[in-house]
Amino acid sequence: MHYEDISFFSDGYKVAGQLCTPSDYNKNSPSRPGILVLPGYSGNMKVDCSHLMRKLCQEGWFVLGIFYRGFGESEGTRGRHRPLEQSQNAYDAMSYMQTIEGIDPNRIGIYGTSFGGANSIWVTAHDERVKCLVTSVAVTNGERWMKSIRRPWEWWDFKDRVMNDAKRRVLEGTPGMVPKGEIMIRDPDTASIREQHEKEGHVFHDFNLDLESAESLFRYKPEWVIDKISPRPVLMIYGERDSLVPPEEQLLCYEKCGEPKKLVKLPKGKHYDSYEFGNLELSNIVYEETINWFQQYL
Amino acid sequence: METLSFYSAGNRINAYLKKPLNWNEYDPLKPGIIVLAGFSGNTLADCSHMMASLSEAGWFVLGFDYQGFGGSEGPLHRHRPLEQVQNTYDAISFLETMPGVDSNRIGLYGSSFGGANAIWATAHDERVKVLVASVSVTDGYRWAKSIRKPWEWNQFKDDIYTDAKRRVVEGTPKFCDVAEMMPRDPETIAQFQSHITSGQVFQSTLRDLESSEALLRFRPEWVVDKISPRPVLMIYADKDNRVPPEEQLNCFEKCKEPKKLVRLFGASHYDSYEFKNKNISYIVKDETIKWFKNYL
Repeated sequence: MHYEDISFFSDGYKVAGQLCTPSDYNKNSPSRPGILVLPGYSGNMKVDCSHLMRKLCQEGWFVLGIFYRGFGESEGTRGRHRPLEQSQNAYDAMSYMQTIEGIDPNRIGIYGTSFGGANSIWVTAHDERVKCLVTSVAVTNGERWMKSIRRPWEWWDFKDRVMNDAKRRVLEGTPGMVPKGEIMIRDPDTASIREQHEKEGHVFHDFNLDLESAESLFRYKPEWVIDKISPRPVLMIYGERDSLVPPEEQLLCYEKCGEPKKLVKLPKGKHYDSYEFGNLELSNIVYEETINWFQQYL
Repeated sequence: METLSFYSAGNRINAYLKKPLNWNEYDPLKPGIIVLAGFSGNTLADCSHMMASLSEAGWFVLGFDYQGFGGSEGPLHRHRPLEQVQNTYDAISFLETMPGVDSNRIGLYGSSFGGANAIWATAHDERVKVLVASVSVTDGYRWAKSIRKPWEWNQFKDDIYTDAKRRVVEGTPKFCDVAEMMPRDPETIAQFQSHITSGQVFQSTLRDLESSEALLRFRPEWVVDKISPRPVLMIYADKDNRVPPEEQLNCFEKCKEPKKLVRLFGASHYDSYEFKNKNISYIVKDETIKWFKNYL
């Protein structure tokens, strides 16, 4: 297996990524599938995705993970989370994959985890180059997600705050910054995982976000377009006790998804149990189901 | 008409405001309507007649130049529907700050490509209470396909995706004439000539090829069913060769109640505008004003 830090251009920015080339690949091998891996809300691809990328690459596939613009090693303004811009990065990542020798341009799959799952649904619906989709512990409707992790009165306060800031922003032209935890509220599981990551020296770039990040999140509803993916196959994996992205996010969206599709439950799984650094046993289910799905359909 | 500005995605957006006829600051709050320009983004050419009529009917009316068009900041030669929609959301926030405007009674009127933006914005922003779309694009992919012969369509798609592969590696845009992006029917060619003769200014006739890629992914029809129970009026011209009637008819079917479809008989695309056809554009105005009066 060979890892290479790469970059490509998206909307004028250099977007950074990591390309994994399977160890059994050489210039004389026939071309093979490529899988694009999309990280979650904090956008740290090397933390969120590295274990899974290694697993997929061991299966003999090319794997590309990316940092969204403004996150990690990519160029772009920090402190802004714009789902539609992240989706644009993903479209462009696929164009980039289609330039890589060895990748079959007609066999591109996407794996998205957490918020990357939301982006992966959106992108698959809007780009016929994606042939097969796997989402794990995915957000599927930004507004419902934001509402579901708040008490009713907290939700209305938050919405007022965001929409009032929009009125200020259009007049003054400056962003209203808030600590990220005020937008994506952390459950205890998330807080302890983040602490563990930081102790291990992982660097995050998402301490503050502008309130427009929340506004654009309210308007981001991949669930509305998931029915456009069929007949391309969709696997959805969810954690039964996920308190960061509650199971309703995946269950309601799954209902609207066309065939072929499959739903996998991680029994008693919390959000980060779906990752190798959170829970070996449950993340193994994620690997196994994901690999089976791509083997069968990609 | 007052010229103002607001900010959107870091750009200063040039806006035009018409206050209700005979308005004074002691009047009760009044509805506000935002009017969205079409594909060429020439707000004054596209919208000024409709803006005048709506303000005479007693409403605040806001028009604006999309980013990169007219008097607004932003890179030129670039058509990005989702950025134009962001400008629209921000125009709504701006309208809400205006003294005299009832922020619970905001409507959208969009014609041609502005109709596409208006449908998308209404589905995604609950602050919009009533929608009118006239001679509207509703699915960018289908629209781009419908105005080409099959082999032209396949070539067009190949050109776009070939350029996307170049672009992500080189990081630079490639430009084409806007008429190559969206081939023009004879009426449109004549209409642009007449606009130019009468002194209308078009910022740019170039578009980057990514504009086409973005267009193929812009499909307001996919979300039109999210607008109900808010009312939608759709107006179409039955001999429209610029944005064929299928655009409106297919989308109307997917739209939920309350809704109304108005057909302009024997009409071409530009017949729906006052600068081209007084009688037919009168129907557009009359139906639009009735719809807003009824529901806004």
